[in-house]
Amino acid sequence: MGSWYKEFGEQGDIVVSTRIRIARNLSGIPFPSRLDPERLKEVNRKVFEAINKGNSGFSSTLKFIQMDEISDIEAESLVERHLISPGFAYNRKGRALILSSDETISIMLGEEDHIRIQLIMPGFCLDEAYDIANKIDDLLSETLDFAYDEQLGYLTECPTNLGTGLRASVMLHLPALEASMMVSQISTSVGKLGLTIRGMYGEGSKSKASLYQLSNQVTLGIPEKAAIENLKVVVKQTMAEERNQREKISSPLLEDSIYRSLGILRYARILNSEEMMTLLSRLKLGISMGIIDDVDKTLPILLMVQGQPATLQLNNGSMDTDQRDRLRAKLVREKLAQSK
Amino acid sequence: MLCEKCGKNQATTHIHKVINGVAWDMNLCSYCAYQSGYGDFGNLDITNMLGFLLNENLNAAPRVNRQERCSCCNSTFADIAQSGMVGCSYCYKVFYNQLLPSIQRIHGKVRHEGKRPKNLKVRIKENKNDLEELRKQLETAVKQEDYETAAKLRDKIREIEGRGNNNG
Ligand SMILES: [Zn+2]
Ligand SMILES: [Zn+2]
Repeated sequence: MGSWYKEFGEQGDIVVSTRIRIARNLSGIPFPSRLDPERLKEVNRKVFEAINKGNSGFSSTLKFIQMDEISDIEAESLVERHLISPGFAYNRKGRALILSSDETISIMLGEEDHIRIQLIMPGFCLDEAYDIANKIDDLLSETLDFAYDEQLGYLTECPTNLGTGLRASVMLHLPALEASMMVSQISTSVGKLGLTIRGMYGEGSKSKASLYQLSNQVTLGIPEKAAIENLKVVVKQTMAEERNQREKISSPLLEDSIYRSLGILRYARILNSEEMMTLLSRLKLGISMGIIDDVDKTLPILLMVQGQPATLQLNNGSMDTDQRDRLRAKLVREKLAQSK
Repeated sequence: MLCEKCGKNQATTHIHKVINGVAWDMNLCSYCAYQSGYGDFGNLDITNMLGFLLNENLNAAPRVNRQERCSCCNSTFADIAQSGMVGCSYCYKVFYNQLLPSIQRIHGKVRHEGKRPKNLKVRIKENKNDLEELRKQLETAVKQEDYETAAKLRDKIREIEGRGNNNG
């Protein structure tokens, strides 16, 4: 499997990506925010050695990136591709990233915790992603002493991650539920199950592209498998409700709005990222509902990522906002023209 | 309205979430929202309301010994409450009683279920280090005639020793 934004995975009409994150710390060493960069680098190197020691087959595809040696644009682009957290890009001193060549494995070293194992894959694949993350954890624990307590489980800098240290999330495209104002209802009901839903690419709980992140919230007192099963059940239910609503909102008006969006995307000369996100979200809905059948179904999400400011500059050199808006329009135009 | 986390900047982001059926509302400035994972781009991590919760514990428990420091990372409980971040894994032992109410509120439960590190020796060794550390602290407490702390330390040592036995 490849990058989450380049491939169309299982249930890809609604589930954009699946992410597993496991937090681990080394025992007897203060958490990263209380370590100076030199000490942090020593810890990071130890972790990288531990990965290479095992004969897992991962190590050949993994690259060690010293975060204070890469540019702001490179770091921002990693955030845009969901491979690191914004905080990790913001303060890079002493921090390091272990990244697989297919961008599915990214291990942040020296973020909030010493180690953040992350798996991100296209579509709905919680079991596969957890299985790989779990193997990496096992491999590391062969040589590293993890901070662990019989009562509190794996010890983390923030007590919200205590216990399993596991955060499983699924990114969902929910334009119909959003249009029917049903997302806040979901938010209330998933809370009772120890899960949380929030908007992506937008402020607070509002989302620009109708993309929402559904994750487990509780990590203490619930085994990994149970947390993942809970999440799966809720994802399936949410998918069913979204499909149901898509049928309900289907109308000539919606069809018109989708075709208009495609029209702008095909011909615009200037596109800011906000407008692009909104239009691509409608295009994705149009493809999923069978209204648009001459556009590659992976394209909306691919363009949402490649059209982000830093990723755009990463591939085309540094430029100002106006230049970016023109280049973004050109990128979208060209990709749509190639697609069939 | 000022940001509820830093208290300095204007709050621009309203966060509403429900954990275990309890609703939480917070107003944050854009920087704190970003730091807490509510920025524009998918920091997929969960909010840090911890400073929030811990400060409550700090205020509600005047009997907490505010001078007590973790011998591994030198944090006091006030440091932890202020930053919302625990200093090191050992802090969880030193400030266990102060942290527990927040942990309970975040997760609803306070006993881990699920995976354990493969290497069991690791845990036993950790307990051994903890014991040495606690005995040192106990010695200091006795020397300083701080018997309240000494009594607490003694309990902790017994607990760990007991745990070691259970684990064979
Ligand atoms: Zn603030
Ligand atoms: Zn400490």
